[in-house]
Amino acid sequence: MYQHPNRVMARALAPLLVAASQGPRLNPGWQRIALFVFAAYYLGARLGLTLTFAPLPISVLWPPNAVLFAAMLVLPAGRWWLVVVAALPAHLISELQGGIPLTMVLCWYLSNVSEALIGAFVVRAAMAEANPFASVRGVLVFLGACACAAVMSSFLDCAFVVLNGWGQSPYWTMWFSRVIANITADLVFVPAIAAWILARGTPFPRRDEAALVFGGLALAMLIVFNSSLAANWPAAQVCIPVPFLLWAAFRFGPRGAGPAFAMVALAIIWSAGHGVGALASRGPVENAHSVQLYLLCIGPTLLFLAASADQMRRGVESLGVSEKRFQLVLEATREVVYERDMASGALWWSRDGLAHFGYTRTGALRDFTSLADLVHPEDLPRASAAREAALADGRTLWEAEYRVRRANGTYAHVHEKGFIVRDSQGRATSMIGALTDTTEHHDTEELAQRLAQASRLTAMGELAASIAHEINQPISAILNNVDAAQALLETGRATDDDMREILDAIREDDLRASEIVGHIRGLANKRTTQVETLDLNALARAVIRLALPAARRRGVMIQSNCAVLPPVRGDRIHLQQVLLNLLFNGMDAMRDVPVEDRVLSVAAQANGEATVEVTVRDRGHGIPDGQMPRIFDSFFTTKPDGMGLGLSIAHTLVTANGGRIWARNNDDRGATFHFTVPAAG
Amino acid sequence: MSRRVVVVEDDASLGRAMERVLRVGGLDPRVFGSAELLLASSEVSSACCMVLDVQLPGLDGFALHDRLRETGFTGPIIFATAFDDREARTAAEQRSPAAFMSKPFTGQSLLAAVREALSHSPADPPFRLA
Repeated sequence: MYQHPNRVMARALAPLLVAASQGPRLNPGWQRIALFVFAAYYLGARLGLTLTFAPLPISVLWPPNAVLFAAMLVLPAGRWWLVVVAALPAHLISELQGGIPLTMVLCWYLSNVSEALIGAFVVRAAMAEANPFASVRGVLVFLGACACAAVMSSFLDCAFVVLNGWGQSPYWTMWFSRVIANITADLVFVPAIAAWILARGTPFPRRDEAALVFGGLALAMLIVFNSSLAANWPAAQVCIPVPFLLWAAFRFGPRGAGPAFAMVALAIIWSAGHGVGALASRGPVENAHSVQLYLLCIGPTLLFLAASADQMRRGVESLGVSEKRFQLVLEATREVVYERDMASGALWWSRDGLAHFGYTRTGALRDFTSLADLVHPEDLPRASAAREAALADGRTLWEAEYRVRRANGTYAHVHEKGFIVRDSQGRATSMIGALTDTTEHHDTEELAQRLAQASRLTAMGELAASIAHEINQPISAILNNVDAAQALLETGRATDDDMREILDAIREDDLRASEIVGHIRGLANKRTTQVETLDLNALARAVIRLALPAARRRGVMIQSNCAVLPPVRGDRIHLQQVLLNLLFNGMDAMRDVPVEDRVLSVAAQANGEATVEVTVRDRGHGIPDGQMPRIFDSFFTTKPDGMGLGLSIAHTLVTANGGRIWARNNDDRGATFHFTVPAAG
Repeated sequence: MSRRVVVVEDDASLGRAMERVLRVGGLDPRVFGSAELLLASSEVSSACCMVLDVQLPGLDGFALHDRLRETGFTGPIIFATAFDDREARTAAEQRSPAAFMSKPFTGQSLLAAVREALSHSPADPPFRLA
């Protein structure tokens, strides 16, 4: 009884589909596999017999091998033994019915199984992905595997036939027709079965359209290959199914192409075998060859088309997913990001990006067309320079800092990090920039600088007396020397040597005075950090000398104890200020201590290889435990006339320089302040 | 015979300049860099006049003044200082110096002050054992 191939296949596939829908990984129990393989093999064999071209036993294709091949493709290699074993009973049953000797049957079993094994092995070895039908390369591999398997197993098969003395045809004829038949079978059945199973999980789209395609195909098949309608049409009517096949392949990928092709193939074979339809015009052998030729031409074409369409669709999808993800990330981020398309100049901002500067998306286009409109005119050359340089040099990254105009007209400081997207030829296609608003940081830094300056001025106020004293010494010396010289000249007792001596002394004192003036200027200036390599001992000596007069006035003795120190890195004026603040702090701490006990000790020593530690130790009353955590805070002071900035500024300067500052109460009396400075090199 | 004037000034250059001025002015100056150095020497007994800087390492000018008076020096003492503030003035006035010179001062004014101070005191070293 003739059964429509689709029903046959549906029955065979049912258990497997059920199993497949149950788990993420196709790993049905061995019973299910065995059952499916057995059933499919047997039915395939029956089908093959049904599709012979009477009256000769010419089979256009032999399904069972293809069934085994498909089964091995969709199952993990560990299960292949199961496939092989399950096929044996089916094979025996179907072959022995025809009265063929056992040895021949077993030989055929071997060659069939070997074909499936070789085919599956080649595909697995050459492909990392599970589904060879989803990519053009995969289809190539599959076709190669089919050819390989058919060729090699045919050698085996024909050898067996000859050995067993079974067939009458010459070796090579037999070999050739078997190769063609098996390749055709693989083409027809393997994609139809495997494409569905391997692509499980993805929904089958557009079912209405699918119904239309397959319906149309069935109708076309009916007309062309199964009715007397077509009897008088030209031979080219075989092309009528082709548009439907292409439609199925292009729109539905391998899952459309496989079944459609199988459908057509089976219809053609059946009708040609029964002498009906367009390919049934001549003898059985010729008809068989026509059918095989037709199928071998159309089959690979469809597979390639289906694979390309699938690849393209996946590419578009992943691009869409990627695009969507990008959009989501940008909407979610609070970063200010813009993207500029190099070709069109179009500028796209993240939503928060615009809002951050006070613009709305609708108003933005009105307010500015290009990034240049937003940048502060003074900063524009500098801002563009970095970007242009990166573009010209072929680099992908650049950085710049500039000011950007907000919607309300004020300017924000930003730090821009840019990324240039280039195509395969290295041309820039778009630029992505991320702006970090550093306005606060800038303002904070400016404020810190002002505070530092204020502190220096305060220090200067404190030092005014000692500065005056420092300057007065050389000035007094000069005045005295000048009067001495004048007196000598008047009395006529001036000798050249005397004069020279006096003039030298005057010159030296002048230089001393100007050094001090320079130092005062350094204290008064608002300046940016200048890091250099310093000798801490020299720096400490200079600071101590500056503080000595004030120390004397308060009756404080400053002791210094400096070991051999490596050179350090830091801003000279900042470090001087830190030490000065600590010295004054220590002096103030000893205000109420008897004069003979007022000793301030300054020491410096290397702390490992990377830092130098400076300590200022006083003999005051120490720091109460409750205040210890707060002493470096701004505006924290215990002095009635203090501003509370000295220590907090010292803390800021030390940490900005890369060091640490801390204080500890001494065991005997008073406190010690420590700060570290990074060593150079 | 020239009158011995002792100067205590820790700034070396200024000390030399003061010595020069006093010598050219016909006096016999000796300069000491600190109060301790002066007290350790034997010059106290031969000095006719003292010019003391107030800001000194160790014993300051006022303390030195007190020490000198304690040990019996009766000659004129002149204070020289850059700190012309109320505290220093008060501390100085309490000790009734012969003169109070605020830096910077010219050589002429120094000479004048010293001469003035010497003119009011006896010709011999005024050191008296107490």
